[in-house]
Amino acid sequence: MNVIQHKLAQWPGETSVSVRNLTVSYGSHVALDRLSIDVARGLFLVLLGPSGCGKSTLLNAIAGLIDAHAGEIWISGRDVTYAEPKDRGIGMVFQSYALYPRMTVAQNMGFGLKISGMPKPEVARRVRQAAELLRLEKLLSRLPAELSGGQRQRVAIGRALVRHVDVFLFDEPLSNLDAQLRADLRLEIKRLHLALGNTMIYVTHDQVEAMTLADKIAIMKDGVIQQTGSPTEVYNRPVNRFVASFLGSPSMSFLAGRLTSWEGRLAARLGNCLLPLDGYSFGRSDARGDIEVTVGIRPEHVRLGEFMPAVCRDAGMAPLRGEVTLVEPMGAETIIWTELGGQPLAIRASADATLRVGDQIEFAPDVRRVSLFDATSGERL
Amino acid sequence: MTTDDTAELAGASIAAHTKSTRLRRRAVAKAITYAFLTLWAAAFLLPLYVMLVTSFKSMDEIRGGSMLALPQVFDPSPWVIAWSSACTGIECGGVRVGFWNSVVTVVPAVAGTLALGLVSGYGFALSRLALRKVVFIALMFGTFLPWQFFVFPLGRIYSAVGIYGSLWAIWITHIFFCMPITALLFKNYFESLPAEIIKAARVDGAGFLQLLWYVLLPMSGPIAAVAAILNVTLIWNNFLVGLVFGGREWFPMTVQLNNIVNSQLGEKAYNVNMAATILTAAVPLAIYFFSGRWFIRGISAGAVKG
Repeated sequence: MNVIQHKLAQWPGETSVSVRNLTVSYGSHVALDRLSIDVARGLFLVLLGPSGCGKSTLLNAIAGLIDAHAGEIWISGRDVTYAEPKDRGIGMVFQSYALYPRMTVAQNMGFGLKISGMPKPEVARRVRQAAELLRLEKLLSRLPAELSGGQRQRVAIGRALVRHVDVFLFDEPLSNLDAQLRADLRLEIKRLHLALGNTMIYVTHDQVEAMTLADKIAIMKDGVIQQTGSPTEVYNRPVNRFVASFLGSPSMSFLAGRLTSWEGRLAARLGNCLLPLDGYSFGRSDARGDIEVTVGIRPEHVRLGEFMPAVCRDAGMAPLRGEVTLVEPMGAETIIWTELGGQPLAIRASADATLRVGDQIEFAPDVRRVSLFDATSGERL
Repeated sequence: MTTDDTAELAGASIAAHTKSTRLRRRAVAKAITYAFLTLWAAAFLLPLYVMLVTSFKSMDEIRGGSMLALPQVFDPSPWVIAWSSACTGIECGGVRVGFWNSVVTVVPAVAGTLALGLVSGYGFALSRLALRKVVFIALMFGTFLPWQFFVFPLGRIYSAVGIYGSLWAIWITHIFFCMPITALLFKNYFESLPAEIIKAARVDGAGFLQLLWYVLLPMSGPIAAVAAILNVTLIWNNFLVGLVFGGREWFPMTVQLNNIVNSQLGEKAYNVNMAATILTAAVPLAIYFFSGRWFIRGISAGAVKG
């Protein structure tokens, strides 16, 4: 079987990295408890979560830099749970770049190959190849101290590239860069993934990076993966309140209410208003009772100036109305804050909206796209 | 004048008053600081000054004049005598003999100390052996024991293996005493380096010694300079080790100086003694003078991210 056929046979759907029941603890603190996740070959997986959620621990365990206490890690079909990092077929990029300060760019990139005993011409060839791909040719003889932050991180990526491995691991690689460079390098990493087709696992706490880069996002909290799915999936159908609140900027408005039936239809009672839930697709068939719920509404899923029949006390059947309480111009858009059933609600409006605090508005949440959570468990209904 | 104006003027005068008071207070504080520092500096520099002027005076002038006066006739001959012909009892070779003995003592001893301190500091910082903390505490405890404790047992051991009275005995003893503090310096330095560099080297496949040799050693310049300065000074100034273990043939400069100063018959040649003392102190003095900047830099290295 030649190389191309071999690649085709593996593509797609083959598992590249498989973490099975992994437990990692620091002393008595259990950072990861029987965590499992499979990453398909060629997938760009982003591990997303707040600091301390275990995402970096998971990445370091996959790299072999942290010992697993129980469970298994498989990479490219091999059990590497107890293998040295260099033998796992991975390359890794760190937040602080972690370049060797007294080596030139070329020496930094070629170091791993050199100490593995690879002949010099082959090392030089691979370094040149990686340098071309990352546009570093002219910097090969510089020292890290003579490079900008963005260049340093490209060298760090180059160091992973020359290894010709199946799996790249990124540990918050853009966090030390300023906003403009971060956006540039984000594009570069995306381009690299398209060009190389490697499996990439990328840790970040930045939701923009996660949404833009990922084929799949795994959102973590307290060492537990909350939800795995495509960016649109986790954004539009968050499985619980934590996921819903972590994604989206400005974030989703959460309104406390009660699920109730009204004239034979399901509705959410929000303060003194009733919001009919026609068209909301329940994920759980048992969600019919009279229970406390949280209604999550993203700012872009509320339309201004549109008619939405709802029932608010004193008013009978009437359009939803509110008073503008705050206006936040964001440049490309403006966020209008109002109240629904006495609770704050953000509405994304166009930048040329000329609303001012105190103005009366009519608005309409798109009920098919809201998220309904059980108020006690926080799980999606 | 309205009341408003009055209030405004009063405000201005309060402000002016406060400002001048503050400036005056600051000036007084400054003056006290300078006076204090000058006093301290003088206390340390005065002996050096006296030694320097005395070493260029003739004995007649020393007997007749003030200790603080500059030499009336500038006479470099005490320096020549001190270096090459001052007598220690029967031998008259000056401190020169001791100088070369000290050089051959210091260079290998410092090299050995640095090499061992580097490797053990690295081990203490990064190895994952369970016992390393216990061993390290034991080693640090050893550093603080007075040297005199070791003189007799070490002498017996050196006799038994037949190196008593040789350079080997001096080198080994110096390395033995200086290694722990050097290891501590390197350990702290390595522990202060960014952990991600070490992780990156592990991903690159660098083994324990490759990591040290290729990655950490090239980054160790500042701390190695500090360790070298510290050890050169310690070993150069040491008296006991050379005296006890070296034998007559390998007396270091400090012992030679003592012999010259204390064994002269008749009138003490203060000018020669002063010159010999300055010559003996010249090496550590020069090192501090020329490398003080490095010393500070190395000591504070790793305190803040570079």
